[in-house]
Amino acid sequence: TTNDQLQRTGISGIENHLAHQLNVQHQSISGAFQDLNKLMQQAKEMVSISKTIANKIQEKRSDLTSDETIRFRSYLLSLGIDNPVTKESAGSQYHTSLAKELANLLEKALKDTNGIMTLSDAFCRINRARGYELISPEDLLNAAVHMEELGLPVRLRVLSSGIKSFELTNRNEKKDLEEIASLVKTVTSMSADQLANQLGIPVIVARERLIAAETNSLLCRDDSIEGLRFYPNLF
Amino acid sequence: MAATKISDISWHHDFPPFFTLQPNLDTRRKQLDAWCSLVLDYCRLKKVCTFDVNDASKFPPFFNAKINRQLDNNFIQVLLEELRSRGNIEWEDKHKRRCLVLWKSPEEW
Repeated sequence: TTNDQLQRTGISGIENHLAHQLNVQHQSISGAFQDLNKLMQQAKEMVSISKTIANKIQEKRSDLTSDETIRFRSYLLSLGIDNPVTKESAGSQYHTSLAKELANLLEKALKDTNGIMTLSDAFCRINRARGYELISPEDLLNAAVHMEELGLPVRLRVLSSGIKSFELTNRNEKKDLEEIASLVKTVTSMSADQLANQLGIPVIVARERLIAAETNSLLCRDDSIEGLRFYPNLF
Repeated sequence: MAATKISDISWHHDFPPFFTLQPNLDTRRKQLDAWCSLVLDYCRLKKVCTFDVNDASKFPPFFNAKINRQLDNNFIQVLLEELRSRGNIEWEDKHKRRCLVLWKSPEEW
């Protein structure tokens, strides 16, 4: 008993106490890792099973949107493995319903921003509005891809520079560009950021619009050390 | 004759986009048309018969101090090639440094 008492007092007592605490922490941490390992083992099995199913489906290709493949896709999504290469034919229900929700949300926002919004802007707006249960960039893109086939009022568009953006389906491209051209005419020349200021759109989109108008022979460019400016096409 | 200004023979010369090679092919065609006629009109007025590429930056039509624009070398090459393909210039040497300017085609002479 004297030994016990010795251990509880003095510096060695404190040291013993610390060692004991460390031990407990270590056990809980390794316990957590063990659980995680078990979980991962299970997930691994799911992955291998889903891969064999994917192979089977690939053999029977182009059975378009049969119920089985749709369900299988949602399994894959819940596991966090998306396998678009072997399953491009269907898409998933999750993304189509997300597309509908987003179209609703974006339609109003797009009307305020001149009918066009970059994907990254939309991503910020949507996730800020949601607060929790956020969507990943990939979900947003996948949902956006379905918008056109669902006949929604909003659609995805890849601009010539590779920038992805949302726009209203009923937008009249030609009329828009002509409006921009006449806007340029009133001030003789314009740079992308001037147009961005005037229309309240991102500079990237403004630049895209000006170049589109140039491609349509409405504008021409003046590239100098003063920057890239666009003039009405007088040629 | 010395009083003739370039802006009198071509309104394009005061238009800044005139000095940037246009990426739109339709527009570029019209731009090169305008450039070719400007160069030929200028040479005819000033009785210029030869052109040296080394002195291109001093050739009056190729810069406009008023709007602070000038042609870059790439543009000058494109323009000379266009003129050659139209039969308006002939190279005097293999290195394409000097050329004869023909205001009229050899047949017209």
